[in-house]
Amino acid sequence: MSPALKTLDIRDTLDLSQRLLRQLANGVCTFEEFASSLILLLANASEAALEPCTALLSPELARAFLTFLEEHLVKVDFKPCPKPLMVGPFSEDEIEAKKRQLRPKYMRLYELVLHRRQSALSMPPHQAP
Amino acid sequence: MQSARTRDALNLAFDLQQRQDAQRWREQTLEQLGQFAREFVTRDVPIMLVTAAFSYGTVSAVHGAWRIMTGIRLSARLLWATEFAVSIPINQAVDRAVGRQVDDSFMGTMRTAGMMLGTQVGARILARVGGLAVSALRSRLGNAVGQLPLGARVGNAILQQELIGGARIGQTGLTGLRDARNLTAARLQLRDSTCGLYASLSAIEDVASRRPVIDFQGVRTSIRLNDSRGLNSQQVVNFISRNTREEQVFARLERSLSEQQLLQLLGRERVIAHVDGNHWVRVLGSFQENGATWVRVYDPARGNYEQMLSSFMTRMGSSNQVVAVRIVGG
Repeated sequence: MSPALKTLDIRDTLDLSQRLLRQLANGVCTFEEFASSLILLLANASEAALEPCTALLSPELARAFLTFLEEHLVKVDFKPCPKPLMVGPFSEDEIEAKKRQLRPKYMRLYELVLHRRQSALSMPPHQAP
Repeated sequence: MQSARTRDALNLAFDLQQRQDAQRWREQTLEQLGQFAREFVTRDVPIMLVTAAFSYGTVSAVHGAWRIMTGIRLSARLLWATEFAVSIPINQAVDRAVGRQVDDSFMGTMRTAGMMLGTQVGARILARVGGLAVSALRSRLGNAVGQLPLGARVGNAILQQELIGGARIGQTGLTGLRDARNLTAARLQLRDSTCGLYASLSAIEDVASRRPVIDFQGVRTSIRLNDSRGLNSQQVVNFISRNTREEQVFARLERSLSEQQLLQLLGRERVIAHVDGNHWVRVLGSFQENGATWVRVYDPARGNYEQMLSSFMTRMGSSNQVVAVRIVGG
């Protein structure tokens, strides 16, 4: 991906993440819908978009999102079904290859959200972002 | 020997003469330019416009007929070259018709070709104005699917143009579809890779409070990165989210739905379903007939039709994927 496209991708992903956050705050979607949509959005984006997008999460949201990630990513060894990120038709081998390809990105996402929650926990309550 | 007074008088007369000559030259030049401009406007411009209208009209008519018959859109460069080639004999015919002398020699043809370059600029302007007029007309008439995204001004021009297509029926009809009937015309995709866009646009137009301005940012790149096989489910969700300014519109992916779950979803939300391995269709609704459940489908490759729900579910597969779009409070 060219630098220009990467920048475009990061900006677009940030915009869509912010939209999801606003929709969650305004009750347009449930937390489950928000979390699963955010995971897919970030999995489809370039890795450079992960950090700025996870930085948007509030400490409370990061904690809840981490629990969701543990349920949906850690339990399946960071290899959830990749079909929503693939264009068919695809073979079982291609699905496995895609799972392997996406695993580091999911792990990075988990690390970032974990770090976000821990950094929020280490701050005194009045300094938490 | 001339006195100083005489010399000064001669110099003055010479200067005066020079100024008068310069003035006369300016006046003659202006007059010639004015005459040239008048002749150009009254004689050449109408001929250029008539030529442009004839050549552009002829090529557009042939191209339009070709598109309707085959569904294939020819490249803009090929059309431009054809217009250019056609405009030379048309220009000569128009010249003869208005009684102007026509030079049929090689150099004469070259001169005409040069003039045609100017004509082509005129043709481009006419095409732009004509395109806008047709777009405005279509936005008022609508089509079988709904209002067209004619507000689209941003993004990929080719995709944008492609989406301004008339209502038609796909070449394959209902061949290969089990328990399907009542095929009617709808806006059809012109490329295999754009079914997701067409199905998404159908839903966007439905939920948008105003005529949507479609943002094609990155869509072409996404399709190219997917080996021109179209958009994946998440990219369809992103496309819809990006193009619905209203934040009460929420698009998301649903997976592995049962018949009952699909019906419930259809009752509440707009649904775009992934079928046949790699194809997106919009499910417009459902109804009961003689104890059987049917769904109404907008298929960008075929048209609008009805299909028995059980057969449609078979097309979706067991680990099916559906993009659902809802308006909260709408």
